[in-house]
Amino acid sequence: MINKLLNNETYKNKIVPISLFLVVELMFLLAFNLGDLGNAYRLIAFILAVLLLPTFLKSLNEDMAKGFIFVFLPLVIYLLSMAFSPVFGQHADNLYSPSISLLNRGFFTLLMSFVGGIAFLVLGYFVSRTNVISKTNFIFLIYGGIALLLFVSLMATLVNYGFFHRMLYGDKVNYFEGTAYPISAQANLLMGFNIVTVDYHVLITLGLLVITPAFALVFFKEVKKMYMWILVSFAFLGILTLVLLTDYRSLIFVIPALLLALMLKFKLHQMKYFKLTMFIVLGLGLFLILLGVLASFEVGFVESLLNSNPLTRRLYYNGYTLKYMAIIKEALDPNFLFGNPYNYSLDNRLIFPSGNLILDTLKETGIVGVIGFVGLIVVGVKVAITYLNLSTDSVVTKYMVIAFLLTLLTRYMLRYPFNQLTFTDSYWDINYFPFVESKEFAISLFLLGYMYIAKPLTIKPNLEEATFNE
Amino acid sequence: MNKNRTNIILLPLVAVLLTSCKGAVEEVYDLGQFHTQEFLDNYFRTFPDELKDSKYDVNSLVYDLEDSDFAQSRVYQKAYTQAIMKDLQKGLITFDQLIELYGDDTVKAIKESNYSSETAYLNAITSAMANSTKTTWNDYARANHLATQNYGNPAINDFFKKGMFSKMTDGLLACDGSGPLVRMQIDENGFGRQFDYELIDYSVLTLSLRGGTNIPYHELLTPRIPSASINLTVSFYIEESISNEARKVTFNFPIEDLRTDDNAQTNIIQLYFEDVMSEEELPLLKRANAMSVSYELLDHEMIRPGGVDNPENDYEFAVMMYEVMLPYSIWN
Repeated sequence: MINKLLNNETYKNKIVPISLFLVVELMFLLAFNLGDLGNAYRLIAFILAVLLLPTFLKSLNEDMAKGFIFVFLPLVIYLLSMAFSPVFGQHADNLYSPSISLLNRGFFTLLMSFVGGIAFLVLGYFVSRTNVISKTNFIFLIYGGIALLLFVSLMATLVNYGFFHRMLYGDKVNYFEGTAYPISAQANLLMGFNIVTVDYHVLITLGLLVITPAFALVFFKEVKKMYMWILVSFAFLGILTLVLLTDYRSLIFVIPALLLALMLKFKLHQMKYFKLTMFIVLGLGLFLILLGVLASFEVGFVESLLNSNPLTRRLYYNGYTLKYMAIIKEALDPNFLFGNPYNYSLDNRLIFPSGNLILDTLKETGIVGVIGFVGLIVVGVKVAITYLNLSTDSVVTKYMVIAFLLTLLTRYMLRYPFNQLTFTDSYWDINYFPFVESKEFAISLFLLGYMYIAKPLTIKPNLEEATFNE
Repeated sequence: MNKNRTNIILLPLVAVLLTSCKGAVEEVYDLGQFHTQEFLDNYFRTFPDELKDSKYDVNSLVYDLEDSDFAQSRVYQKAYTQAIMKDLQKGLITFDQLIELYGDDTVKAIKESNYSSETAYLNAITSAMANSTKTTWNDYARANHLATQNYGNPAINDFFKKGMFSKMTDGLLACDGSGPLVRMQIDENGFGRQFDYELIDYSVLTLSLRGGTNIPYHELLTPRIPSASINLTVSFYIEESISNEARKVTFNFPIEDLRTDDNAQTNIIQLYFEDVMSEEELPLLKRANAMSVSYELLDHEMIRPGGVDNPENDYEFAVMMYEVMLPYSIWN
């Protein structure tokens, strides 16, 4: 039946190319967040995935056996734990309180998040295996969607607040529904068809994302003139956002992307000690995280060690990390394997949301969900390395794909904006933006699927033959 | 001139023009302003100069009300007789709306099909409504505060949600534990507020307020003085237009027992305009686009006993305003 379909002229010459074109359009509209239609975009992604599946079924089948299943598995675990999470689920008693985080997602929304997540992953995979679409164009379209969203939002912010409002109204408040809100924390965002007031960090994140591709200019010989101007425009818009919102410190979040560009430019990754250096950095990072985890469980000697000098004391016992430790400490509670909706205050600040994407995920979906999520990141890193080494894409495309994920991950390690809307009717209003439902997550999955290349099986040399040859 | 150069010059101009709106920062305050420990620093005194213009005094109409002209209540008392039933009698709400908005589970469980006649059903509903747990002034405010009334235009709701005046439109009739964050402290000169919209239709004015002083009772070891007498003045301003001259309509409310220095209690004032204005006078409020609230302290046992300032102390009295409602009003 599949062969019959594959040989069908209409399917082959019309449905497949049109569907692939629609995938790219979908990614642009998703990045622009037109209409704020999350579930509709996921449903469309699912339909397009079903339409394209027969064409790529054979390739997908083979790659599943070669390792694509290991990209699928952590994603499925993460998405399933979301479906079972008491944080996401609906509660008949509607017990709203600042100490309980309930997202009250219905069956359809949960199903769409699950189906949509997988659909975006396979759509990315399909796009990478066709020559119908220009690889450079699609990644530019994704960044373009984000840039357009940022442009409209920045214009709205200028109209409503004027230039440099965060600086000019630094210690001022405005009132909404009888409550005072600091003006320096506000900006406007196009959400759907409305301009809403949000935490200005949302715009900063968009700004950082559109600054990132500009580092591809280090490969100026390989960038066409037209694309060069687009990259410059993106960078100008991103920097303008940071300047007008007077948040220059956030530029540190694009440093990893800059290092990636330099690494690719000077082929540092092919140097002799690169791998070793990376392993040392990674090992050091893991060791520091392990110390933090042990400190969360109040292991005596670790606590004494960390408190023994000002450097580690500052590093491990600050406003951020104390929240992190509180979340880690309660993570192993067997009652909350799929997420813990109960929240409490630490120095008058609620521990959730923590601002750290992984720890927010731990709180939302429990230890099971976070295993899936971290697994997805680890697999993602591996997929990205293989993509860098084996893909025939231009270095510009390679950089832009990986840089998006790198900047996003770096930013969301410290500043995941779980509470985005500034003005809410009251504190128990649902004002949460879980990553799993975000456009950034959908784009990330799409890019992950796109990057996937099955590593060719390495054939072990026959020792006898080798000896003989010598 | 080269077209590109023209664009380069025009772009910043457009940007500057765009930023001239600045809607979100047209009314800003210092962080913590009006919410300090110092009583005297907490007065809200904004009174637009336009409202002080003498043109409004030429065509000024003043209603010196008497006790019987308006209803007085306390925030935790029921609004059933003084507001809800009167709204029904005056046709401001339907019977179905009465049940929907103010009926508790017992009221809503009463079905017409269980009664032999409509009269029996209405009697059953009326007696059950009298005992409904959802007929407090807080319930009345939830249904009628300016920020969420159904005007058919969300922009009007948004307008009432913005600015310091939004403390008066959020449906909070008394302290909810947030202290000064939910009220406006005003002196005798009061405050004025201009609206972006014009009042087109109106029936009722509801106010929630109490008195407050900076008397340190605990230091003086004297019992709290829970009451004061004031004359509250509420004015509506109508701008001049082709069809009419500038006009001010003022209502003076004598409040003999204004709850004072009691965070938990506020006085509720309920005025039906048609109770005090004749049929010819009722349209006079039409197109009002500003209002002001001020008062005169008539009597306070320690600050102004018998209406005379007490020279022995310089304690301050203020009116704490919590809410201004115009239930069933239509704006344009």
